[in-house]
Amino acid sequence: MASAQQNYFELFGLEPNFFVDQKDLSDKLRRLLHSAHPDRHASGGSQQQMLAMQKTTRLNDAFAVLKHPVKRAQYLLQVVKGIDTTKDHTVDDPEFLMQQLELREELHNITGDKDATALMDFADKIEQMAEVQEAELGELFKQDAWDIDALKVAIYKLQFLYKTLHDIELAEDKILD
Amino acid sequence: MAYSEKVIDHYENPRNVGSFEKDDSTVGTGMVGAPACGDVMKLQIKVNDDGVIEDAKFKTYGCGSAIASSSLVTEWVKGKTVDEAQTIKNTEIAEELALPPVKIHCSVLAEDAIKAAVKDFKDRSQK
Repeated sequence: MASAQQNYFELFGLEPNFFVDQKDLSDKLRRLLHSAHPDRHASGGSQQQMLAMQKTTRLNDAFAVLKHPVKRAQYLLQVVKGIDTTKDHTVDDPEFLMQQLELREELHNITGDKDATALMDFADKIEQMAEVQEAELGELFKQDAWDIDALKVAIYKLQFLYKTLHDIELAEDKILD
Repeated sequence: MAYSEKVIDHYENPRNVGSFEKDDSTVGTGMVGAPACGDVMKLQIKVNDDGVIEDAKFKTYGCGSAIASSSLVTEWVKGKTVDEAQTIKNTEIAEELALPPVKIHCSVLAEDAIKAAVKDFKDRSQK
């Protein structure tokens, strides 16, 4: 059993790649979780059950990473190139950051006004920006020789947009309450 | 996680929130961000003819520690020369606010922001 050494892609029978068919991934998760379910190993003793439980946890961790474009991109860079982009570092890109600051201000004002329609429009706008940014990131991963610096920039830009999407969810809760 | 009293004080009563006209030649603007937590910080200084920082303002979207760190820095830099301001260390900020280890990066961000603001001021005053 070499399952502990398998990376998240291998766990799902995939080549390390940015492009992951999400429907296929969900189907595989369901099948793999089913066969790893601790109840199916009830006769195998506590050791077997523990292994089954560990496998289940690892499958869920892997799924969470492969599902999320930012986490998947970071994991891919880690697995293929050994580069860790998850550590905190300061981004010095005034133009992009100013735009992000303005977007947060806009969201802040929408939340203050409790304007549900404006929030939906704003969410659409950010989702579109995230889609464009994800496509850009995908293009970079398609190249034969990866431009690591460009990849890092594309990843952090997407990260900021996902942070705003997360804040939008929080704002939804606030407005709907 | 529990915030220290000083963090809560700065978070609830942030000092110097706002903006200066960034094209003003006496103003330096530092824009920094941390992708991992998504924080964005803008720190601005207004410098007089003697190179002394007369006023400072900030705008931060992020956690309480990031807001407190930038608020504290705007207080500290007033009355300092730009060169003095550049020597502010994140460890001093973290110590003053009693930041826990997981929030040290917020003080790093504030240090980077004041450095970027001074650099921006110097770059533009040389022109």
